[in-house]
Amino acid sequence: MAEVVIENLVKRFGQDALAVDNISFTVREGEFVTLLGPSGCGKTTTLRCIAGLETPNEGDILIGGELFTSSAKGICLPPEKRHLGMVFQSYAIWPHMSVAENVAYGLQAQRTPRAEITERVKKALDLVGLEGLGDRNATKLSGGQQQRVSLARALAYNPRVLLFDEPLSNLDAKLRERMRLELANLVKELKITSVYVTHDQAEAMVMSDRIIVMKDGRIQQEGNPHATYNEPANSFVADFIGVANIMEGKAAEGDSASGVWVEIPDLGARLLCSSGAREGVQAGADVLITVRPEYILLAENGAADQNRLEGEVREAVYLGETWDCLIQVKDYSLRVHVRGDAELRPGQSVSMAISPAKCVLLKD
Amino acid sequence: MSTDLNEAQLKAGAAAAEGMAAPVSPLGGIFNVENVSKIGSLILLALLAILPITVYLFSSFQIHTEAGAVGFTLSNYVRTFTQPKILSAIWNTLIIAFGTAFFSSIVGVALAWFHARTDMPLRGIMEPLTLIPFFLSSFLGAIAWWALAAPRTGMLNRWMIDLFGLSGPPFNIYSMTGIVMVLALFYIPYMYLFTIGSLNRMDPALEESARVCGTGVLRTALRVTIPLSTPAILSGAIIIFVVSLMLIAVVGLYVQRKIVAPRSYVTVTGKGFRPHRVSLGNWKYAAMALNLLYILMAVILPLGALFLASLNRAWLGGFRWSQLSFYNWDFILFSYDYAIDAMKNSLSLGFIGGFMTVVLCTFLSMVILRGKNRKLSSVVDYVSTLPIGVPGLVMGMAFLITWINTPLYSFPLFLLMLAYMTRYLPYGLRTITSVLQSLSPELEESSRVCGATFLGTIRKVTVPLLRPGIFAAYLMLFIMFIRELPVSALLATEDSTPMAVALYVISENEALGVVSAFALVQAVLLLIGTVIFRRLGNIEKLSV
Repeated sequence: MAEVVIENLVKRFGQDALAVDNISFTVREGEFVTLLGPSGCGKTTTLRCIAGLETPNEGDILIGGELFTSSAKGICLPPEKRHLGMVFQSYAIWPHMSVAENVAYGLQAQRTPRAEITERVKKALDLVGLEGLGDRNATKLSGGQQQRVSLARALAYNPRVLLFDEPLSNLDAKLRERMRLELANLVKELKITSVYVTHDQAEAMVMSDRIIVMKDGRIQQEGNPHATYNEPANSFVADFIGVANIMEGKAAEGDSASGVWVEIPDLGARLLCSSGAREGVQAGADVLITVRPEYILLAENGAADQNRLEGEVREAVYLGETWDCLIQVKDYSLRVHVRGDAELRPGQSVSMAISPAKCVLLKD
Repeated sequence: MSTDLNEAQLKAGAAAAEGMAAPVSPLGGIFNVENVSKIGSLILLALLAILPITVYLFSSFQIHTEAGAVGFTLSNYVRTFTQPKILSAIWNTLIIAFGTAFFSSIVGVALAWFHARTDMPLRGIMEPLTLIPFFLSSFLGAIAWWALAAPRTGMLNRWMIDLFGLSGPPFNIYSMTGIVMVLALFYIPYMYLFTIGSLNRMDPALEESARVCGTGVLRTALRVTIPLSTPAILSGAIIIFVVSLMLIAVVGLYVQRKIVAPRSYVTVTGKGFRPHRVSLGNWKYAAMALNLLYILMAVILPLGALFLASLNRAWLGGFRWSQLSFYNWDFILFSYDYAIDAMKNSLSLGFIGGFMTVVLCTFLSMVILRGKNRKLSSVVDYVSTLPIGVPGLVMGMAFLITWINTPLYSFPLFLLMLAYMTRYLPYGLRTITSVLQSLSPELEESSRVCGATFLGTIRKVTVPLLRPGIFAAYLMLFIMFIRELPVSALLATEDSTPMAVALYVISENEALGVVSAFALVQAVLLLIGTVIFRRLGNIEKLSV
């Protein structure tokens, strides 16, 4: 259990391929942090640098106050000296060993007494719900069970930090959803500092204390799931996490106490935006704003302090709990999620209200 | 977090790091077990492969007189390439090499597929029989097929003439077809061995998904199974071509790099799977018939011919019961010192030399496939493949020129072993890398993260998972070392004569009966060695 500090990490593959481009972040003790991003964003490379499986070109990695990697000092502790646990995407279960032998491996490597190994292997298997399967051939287990073996193996020797490299991506959807919660609860109960890599935003939302969104080797946004979803920093984050209406506009006046008035030509309307990057916005500046579909409310008579829009339903798909619809407002098709008990049909005219707090100014 | 705090942490971290074991200091980072063993194997590779060949190349540009080597000249090459005899020999060699590679690839891959992936009957019995030609040198095959199909004295020819009243001999081993046939017969098992490892380890789901897509058995084999084994098959075909070509085929190696390298062939991940065989229906009997025909031509006929010949003291083109005698056997096994010493030499070369080569190959394959530095990996890969392009005679000569004036030359058996290691390194390396290539690197990485060291990981994860490949390589090297002729012909001294050289000398000086008996002794030793290796390799059969 320890804090992880990443300082100005740079990793190049070959001459030009920049996988990680000068990133810094801290994972506090016992915190569950997810590196989220599309493939090729550098999240796995970052994780492998923490594990000591890659040597970064620049930057430092500290775990529990100890310097594990420092390119300036020429230090890169090999993986086996770091005392971390890692769960791999392919499970990486050794096919020539039984379940118990797989789990005992890390303890044996640390020369733990035999009696203690037996006990801790049993404890680890119980913890992940594989009681009594120790003698099985690991490769004969199902995918979900194999992933549990992999987790038990990483937990068995009480690592300082747990690293997860897309551990659930090989499982089917139902199992994935169940394992998500189970995994997160287990890790939080044990209070182990965890760094989790995934491209699945729902996974990141459910499990993390904090999400770090990455793209092209750089950090786009850092924050808890709520803040990341409700106040995305830029159009990439807004679009990558959840569904977003992103619109171009011009600031009609500078930032004031109530927010920024933005003139949006596509909508033919002005919206008051009180969230996101308001500070320092000058009158006349080009800005991007975003609104989540579920924060756009259908309203005959919205409150006076809300942004009002008039439009016509173009498409409406009924999903039970909600309608997923496209509503044409002048030149823009607004994605709107409406409560399932409403009556909607294409061609219908609707009026909408959006709270200024849900209109987010983006940084790019 | 403020920068002050970070700096404090950095200092604390550095202080903690200084207190820890050696590997954290910059120098310790370079001189750890991992790097030392890798660098060591690289230096050994350079000494073995590059140095002698370079020396040899230089001397080919020099004219050697009594006063020593003189100047730099191309005249050696000019003389070589202006002799019509040599040119036509090169052309014939090309044809033979291509024919051999072509036919042995087709049959070898087909047989490997039958054995690894289908329900062909009698697999268990036929597998060792199919592999027997691999233990027999093609030199032995030539002797046997000469006894069988020489136009006038061949046993087969005589039988056919007697049986069907033919006017002339139906077979002629002294033709281009004859040469290609005998060579192909003896290279088919190479192809088989190159391919079988990768076929055995392939996830059946890859094939099953193709079958589910509506592809037939044959199409699945041709479109999925075989292409997935391309690295193994291509390396095999190219090696056979080059071996039979016996030229420095840098071009061929280059082609191999280009075709084989760029795709991903990881077929074994940490996920488990169950083996499943393709059902061939009635075609399985056709497969069996093909396999049996091969065994007849490559094993039963040649060995039978040698066996019969060994039982007659004088050979007159056919076996005669009236002349039945065990003289040849008695002579070879108990009174012919030259032959007995040769057996001892060959066995120690095979067991000890083979082991050293396997260890070197394992480290090199890890440098090539698991190294972080891609340029270094590809250079090592290329250099360690180079010896294939060097004919045995050239390799022997190169070693002789390089080491003759050094103390190493006073240990002729050791020098011979080093030359064997160099020449056959690529074969062992191919076998091991093709298995390592199909193992996900995450299997080793997870071991390191779990706290096992570089060597610990090799011992507990890499080697056990590579076990089939390592034993296949050891077996292959053992066999090649025992059969090896060209290098030994140049490097062997009176005391270090191995069996193959002895067989050649004996075939020049003794009657066919003695030669046949000695050749069979060699075959039996190889068979025993094979049984031992297979036993060892199967103690803990992999559960994939």
